[in-house]
Amino acid sequence: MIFAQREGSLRQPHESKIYSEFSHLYDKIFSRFFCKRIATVIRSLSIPPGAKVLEVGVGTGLSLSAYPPHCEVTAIDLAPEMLEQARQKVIEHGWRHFRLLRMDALNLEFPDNSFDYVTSFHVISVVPDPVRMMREIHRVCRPGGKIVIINHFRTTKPVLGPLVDALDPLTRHLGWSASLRLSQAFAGVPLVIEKQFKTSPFSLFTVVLAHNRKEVTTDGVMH
Amino acid sequence: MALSKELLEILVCPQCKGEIELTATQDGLICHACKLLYPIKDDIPVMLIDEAIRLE
Repeated sequence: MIFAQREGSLRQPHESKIYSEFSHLYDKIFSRFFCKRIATVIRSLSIPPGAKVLEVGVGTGLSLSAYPPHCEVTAIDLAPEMLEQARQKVIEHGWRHFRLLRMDALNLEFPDNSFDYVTSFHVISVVPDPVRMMREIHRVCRPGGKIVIINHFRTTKPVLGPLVDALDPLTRHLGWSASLRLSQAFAGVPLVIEKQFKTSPFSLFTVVLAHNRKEVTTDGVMH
Repeated sequence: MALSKELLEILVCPQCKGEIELTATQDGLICHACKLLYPIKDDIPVMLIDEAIRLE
């Protein structure tokens, strides 16, 4: 093994030092891989004035510049070092449409149906329980609201899939799981996937645009 | 980056999911039911039970 594993279990991706000790290097390393795609996707949403947006796992705030100033964005992350980088960006640009909170993506401390849009970029393969994160996103998104996820999901191709699985211990060490399947993450969450695409044929990452199928019945109960 | 009134209205206590209130000094959010103070550090509320301060 090229690195030490914890007794009997794989390291959780979010425990990687990349999200704490190396937060100041994160932008330098990752902005070229992530930034343009995220910005293109956010702009394509044409978020209307006054819309309430939640970004889950905002990290160092690579996405923030793409949100139109006429919407209200609440952005959360668990790592204080990453949030500090995001806060600096908000201050430097004088942005007034962001609120940053330290919160766990698996326990979103908002009531049901609080947001019109919920976005999350390159987070779901980092959290210890992806299905729970999707359930929380679904819960806080209003009925008919939009959910936008960008992530690497394991390919369904017969040769490449197992190869990627073999790399999973290494990528976990670096800070993410490579073996998460899209179907796994969305299992049992009542969402309608409107679009699922890659921004280029060779991209490792999939963009998923979904709307919340949650309905309000006449008794006022959400389903 | 002051906390907006709208955000305060929708934030809930991580423990009981009930209402929370901004302290007079604006340096934390209090859940009176749980007697917990969630600190606001560098303008960022820390909405984590593990980091909450127990009020006597």
